Amino acid sequence: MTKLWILLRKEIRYECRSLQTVVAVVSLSLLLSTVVALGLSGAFLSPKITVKIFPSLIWMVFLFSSTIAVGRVFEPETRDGALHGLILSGVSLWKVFTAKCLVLWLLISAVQMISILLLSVMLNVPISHALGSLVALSLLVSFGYAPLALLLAAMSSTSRLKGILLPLLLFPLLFPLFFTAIELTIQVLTTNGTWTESFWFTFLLGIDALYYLVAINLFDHVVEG
Amino acid sequence: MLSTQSVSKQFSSRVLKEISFERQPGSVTLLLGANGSGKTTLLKILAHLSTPTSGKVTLFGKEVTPQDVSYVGHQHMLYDELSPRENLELYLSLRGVSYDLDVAFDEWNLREKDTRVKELSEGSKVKVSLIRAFCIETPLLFLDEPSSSLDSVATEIVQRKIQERREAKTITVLSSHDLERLSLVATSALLLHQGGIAIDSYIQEGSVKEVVEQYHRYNR
Repeated sequence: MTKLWILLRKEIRYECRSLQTVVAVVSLSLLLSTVVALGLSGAFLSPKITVKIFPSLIWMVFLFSSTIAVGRVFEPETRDGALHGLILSGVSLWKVFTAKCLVLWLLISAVQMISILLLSVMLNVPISHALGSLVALSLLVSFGYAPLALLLAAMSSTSRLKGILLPLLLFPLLFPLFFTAIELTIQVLTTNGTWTESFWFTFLLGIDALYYLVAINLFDHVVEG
Repeated sequence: MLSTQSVSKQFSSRVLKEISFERQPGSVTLLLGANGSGKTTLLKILAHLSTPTSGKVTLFGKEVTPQDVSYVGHQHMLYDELSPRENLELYLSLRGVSYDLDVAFDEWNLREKDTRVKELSEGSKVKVSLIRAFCIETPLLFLDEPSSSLDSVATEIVQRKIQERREAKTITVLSSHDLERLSLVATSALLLHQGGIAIDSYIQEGSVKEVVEQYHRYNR
């Protein structure tokens, strides 16, 4: 546990100094949210239709902005062989992975919440009645996204095609998570707190656990490869 | 005893072919070979940073673990946004040991201890890697071109440190083009040629000097 904490502090310190992921994910989220809102305002959609497509829009913005930003998240480890330094310290690779994953998770969850708020204001979709549930849902969806994205970022980091390889590998694998997120957002916005009783909520918890366990078990092989 | 048994490594072509040798505690082996002969690959396999395609490396009959190893390679293995002090503190805290880093910084004459690594000169980065390798006494020490980018004073420190580790019964394997200085601390030499062992002075009882001469002949 102490070593995990040491690694977490390292991740936070590195990110605070470089700001590489924060800047990328924040600017891309804001930019995409604005583009989407402006594009829809020109289409003169009725408020009813805007509310209907709102869940898809927020997760589409999340998917694109996070995936572009996450492409660089593994670079500090490969640059100058820094990961080898950690390996030689004898620390377990699952701790290295978990520390990176936790920081990425918190970062993209926070940015996703800002993005949801921004889109709701720009598209005039009321979300104040479901704010708490949306925070919880963002945290849960990001928890499934972070390990898978990090694993694939590690896999593609040494490839010459890394810019295109990551989304090509990641998007198809994220389909169940993306679809579940949309379904649950519809329920969050239309029901009064009963979304946690639905099948999709249980399914989301299952996907989160599955993605984390698969990623953590494959990370050793990715690093060795 | 460090033992490599039929270690081979294959990328697109075979880089190492059936490398087998043994070394006793307190030995310092100079690894020689032309560019592309497999020195770096062999050192990475010994340091547990690369998996051999076949064969194994053992220390007293057990598989080598990262905790057994100190290693300096071509890459400095440092986080560029952290300072030398932060990098070394990270390494030491993960190892669970304490060490007076200020003493080491003074000894190696590293003044930029709190500057971000990305702003350091190549020589200073090598010094940080060397401090990391020498600050913990491990049974195995592997150095890949440790004196490249170093001034003569720092190279002397490397020589002295290797000597100290030899007295502490560490098994050292190093590759270097600075043969004049570092061959002086070596107790044996291993010449690699086209991925295989051409000469092992440890077995053939030749002197390090003879193997170095042989190496020069191969290179001509």
